[in-house]
Amino acid sequence: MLTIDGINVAYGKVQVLHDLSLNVKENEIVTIIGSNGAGKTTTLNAIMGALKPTKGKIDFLGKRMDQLDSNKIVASGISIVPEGRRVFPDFSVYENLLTGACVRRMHGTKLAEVENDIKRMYELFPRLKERHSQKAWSLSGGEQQMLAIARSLVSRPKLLLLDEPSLGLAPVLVREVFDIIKTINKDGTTILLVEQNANMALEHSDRAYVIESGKIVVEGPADELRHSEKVKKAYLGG
Amino acid sequence: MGAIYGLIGMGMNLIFNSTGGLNIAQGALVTLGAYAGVTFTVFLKLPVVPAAILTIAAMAIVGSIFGYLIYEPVRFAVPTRFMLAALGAGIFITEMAQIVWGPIPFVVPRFIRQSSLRFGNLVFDTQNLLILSVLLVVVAIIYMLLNKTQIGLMMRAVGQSKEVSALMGIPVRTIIRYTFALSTALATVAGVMAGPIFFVTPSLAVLMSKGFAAAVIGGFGRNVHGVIIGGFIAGVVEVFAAFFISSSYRDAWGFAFLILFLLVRPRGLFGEAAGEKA
Repeated sequence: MLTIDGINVAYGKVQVLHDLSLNVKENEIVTIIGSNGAGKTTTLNAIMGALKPTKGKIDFLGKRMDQLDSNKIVASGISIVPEGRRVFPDFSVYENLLTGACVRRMHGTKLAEVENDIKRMYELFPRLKERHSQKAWSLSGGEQQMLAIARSLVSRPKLLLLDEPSLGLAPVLVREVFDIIKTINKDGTTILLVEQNANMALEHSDRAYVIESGKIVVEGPADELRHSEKVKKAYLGG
Repeated sequence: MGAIYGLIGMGMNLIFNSTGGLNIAQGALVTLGAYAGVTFTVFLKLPVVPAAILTIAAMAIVGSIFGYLIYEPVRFAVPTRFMLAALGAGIFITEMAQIVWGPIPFVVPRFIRQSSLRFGNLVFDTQNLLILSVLLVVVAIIYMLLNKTQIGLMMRAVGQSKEVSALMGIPVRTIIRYTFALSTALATVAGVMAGPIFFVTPSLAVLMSKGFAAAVIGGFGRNVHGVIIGGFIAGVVEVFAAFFISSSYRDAWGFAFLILFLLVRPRGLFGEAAGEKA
């Protein structure tokens, strides 16, 4: 479904990703784990078109994506839940959900159809329904994370990218968020996850990549990586 | 007067929300809009309504080009770069207006021939009533556009975060160009309305500072009504100070009030407080 083939990505003169390759197959949950500054978020930003690779290519469903603008990438079926939730603070929950459908609306989708999708999101996240008119800045961290996920789902993605969904959440909420990710995947959305909570991420994933200094250093089935001595030592607390 | 200040401030507020910078050239765009109005009505002798529509449409295109040429090259820089670029562009536009239309002020005929309307003991200037009506219609249109349309939603989203908007697939650069078009259309309405009150000269550009005062008093932010109220307050302060104290320092009183206001309530009457939770 998604193939990243040998990309280099740089911020100005500082190269962050070095010949990075990975792939995601349909209906999988794939995790990228790595320490701070390893290049996890940069990889997702490159997929979303926010950063353009200087070498290599990114294909999605057989179509080259690496030089396209973000709106075309969203239109092709990729959506992202950014690191730190990044909801629109002054928008209500409902308005935030509408922004997730901007690209669909620009391509002619009727508002009534988007509102049906928002109703489905309210079924998946009942707390958001209760907070329908509430400004996003006033929500708790967990509610903001649910809103950020729901906002991305309103774009009806085939591939959902999640950047550190557990960041800053209480352990009980982390489990809830990962259960939701599993449900979304069961409903047919492929997931590419970037996470520092390696234990939880590997527990919920089919496959995983370990990234260090912008390079993939280990890859394999998530179960295998959970029992790998190297991964255990570096990312699973021994 | 207050309505005109409010319209100029509203345009500045829209740009501030989208770019984080002040469009110092807003006054120059008011001037250009007024001259464009003069061209369609005085030189081309078009009737008022088609002339107004053509003027606003042409100036919206000018605004979009202004955004492309002046804002886009500095969009990743600190907002002061845009302010400086706009300052330079404003001076250029004002000087060019003087070269193209000449230094002699244009007298714009009143839009309504009948000069006043009487309601009992009250007498109203028809020109002022027209300005007030236009302002109400414009505020209603802007409110509906920002709050009830898809493009308005995208404009407000870009105002909150360009980065996240881009990740959501919102075409940020296009939306900012539309915002410049809308803001310039507002400047044009202000310029055309100001035409019959002041003479049309390049010095109309000084109205930018009054629009700025309106936006500061009303509060920069995502409100529409605040800037309009700010405009009326700025206008009332000027008129009262000129009447009761001295008309020679009319502008000075306005700015003295602005400084006082900044000391007491720097975020304006309806501006958002800094330090939100998210």
